[in-house]
Amino acid sequence: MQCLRTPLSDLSVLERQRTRAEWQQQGQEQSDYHPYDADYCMQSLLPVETSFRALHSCSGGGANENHGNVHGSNDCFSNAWPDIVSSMHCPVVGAAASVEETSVNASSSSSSRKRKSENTRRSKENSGGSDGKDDNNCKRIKEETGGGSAPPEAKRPNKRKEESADASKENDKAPKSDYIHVRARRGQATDSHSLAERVRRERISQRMKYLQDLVPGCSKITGKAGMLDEIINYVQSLQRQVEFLSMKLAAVNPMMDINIDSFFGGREINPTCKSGIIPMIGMSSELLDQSYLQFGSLQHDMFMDSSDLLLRPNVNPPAAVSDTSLGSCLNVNGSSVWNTNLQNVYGVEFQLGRGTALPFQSLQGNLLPNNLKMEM
Amino acid sequence: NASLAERSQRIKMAAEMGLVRSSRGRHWSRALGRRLLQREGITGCGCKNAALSTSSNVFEDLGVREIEDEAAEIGTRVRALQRLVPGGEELGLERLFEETADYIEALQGQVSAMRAMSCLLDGLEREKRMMGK
Repeated sequence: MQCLRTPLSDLSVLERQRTRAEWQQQGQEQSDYHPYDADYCMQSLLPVETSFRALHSCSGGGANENHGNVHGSNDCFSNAWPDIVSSMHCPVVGAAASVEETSVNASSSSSSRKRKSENTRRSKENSGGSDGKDDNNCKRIKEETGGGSAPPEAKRPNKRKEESADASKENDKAPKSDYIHVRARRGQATDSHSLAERVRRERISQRMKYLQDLVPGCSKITGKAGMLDEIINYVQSLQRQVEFLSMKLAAVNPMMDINIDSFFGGREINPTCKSGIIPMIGMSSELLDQSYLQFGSLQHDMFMDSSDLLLRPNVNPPAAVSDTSLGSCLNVNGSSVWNTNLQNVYGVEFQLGRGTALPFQSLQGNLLPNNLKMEM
Repeated sequence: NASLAERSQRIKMAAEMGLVRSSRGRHWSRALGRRLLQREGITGCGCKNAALSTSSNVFEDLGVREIEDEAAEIGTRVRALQRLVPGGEELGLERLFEETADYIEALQGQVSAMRAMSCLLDGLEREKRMMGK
């Protein structure tokens, strides 16, 4: 998969991928179909690598595995990331692997985890002594009985309890129950409702932090309302940019048009819904499938490589691309193959538009001027 | 030749289709796909997954108890965000933020792709004109 080729030296990208991979897990099982269950889910927590194994191995059984379809229809990202993430975490979580081994096979689902707790767990198992990050809100891992099999015991490293010098209230280990155990802060209520709420709130603030990284210029703002404002503005500006660019594309080449009727040809793409749509340019749907995956991953590539673009000097003139190939590529009525021409297009573009095609980091400066608001 | 407005609208729809197709499996992409289908007058299959169509109450999710005004402020903004993100109106706050993040990333990719294309075409047009002389 092309998205695996991303330069791993870019740390922020890597971190983002990690976070997103976790969210994939959190989101997949919980919320695509049951948005409300997500918040109150009492599912088991598993460390990253074992849960991915569970994901792959258990595609049929268990109450939470009606998402098998989702896995099948996922784009390249969600399938690729487990590989990235599990390979990254393998050496680290090695210690816990043996403990979880038995539980993995019995457990039929994986679900949400907090990054903090995972890091803490990891660090605890690694060092064995030093307290990692905030260990006050660590979730203990409990195994859920998938289909009625005997619940395996999840031996959490309770040693950290003794090692921890913190005077927080500690829950007793209750390995055979189906509950999520959360360590409460000192002086805070420990009833299930407030705990669950706190967990939820922390997840929400986690998401907010991610958004803060994503939206340029957001790191300075601290209030919730201000941040939401920024996010809203950013989304709006992106949508407006899409409109503006589509107008520009239409203007630049008078020959460019798209046959809309061919979009909706009746071919089924979404396995869960019977209505079919054919995207983009009106050609055979198989071609389009491939081209879309390519387009998606190419976008991703362009996205990721854009930081590289800045470093490489502008080199080749556009002479490499012949007018005919591009003309046929973009003219819908021609019967060119989208795949190869698309590669040509993007290949040239990287060399051609380097100076003008702005990498995504500079998108922040690119808000539409107001006088270009268009009525469609 | 079709008018500029029509063509640009079709291009925009193609762009949104591209978004939908390149992010299969996300809630917002399914919602956007449904919206596009509706716009074209194609009756969808009517099955909307098990997703509930009631708008969820985001106040609970926020946990903001201190100031009423603040909560109200945030509430309106969250509702605005829900309207912006396709399919957002059914989501709770946590899921909404997730979808927003993914949607933003997809949009960023879309914008950069379209910008690249327009630069490319621009360059070609200029070349054509130069060659023509």
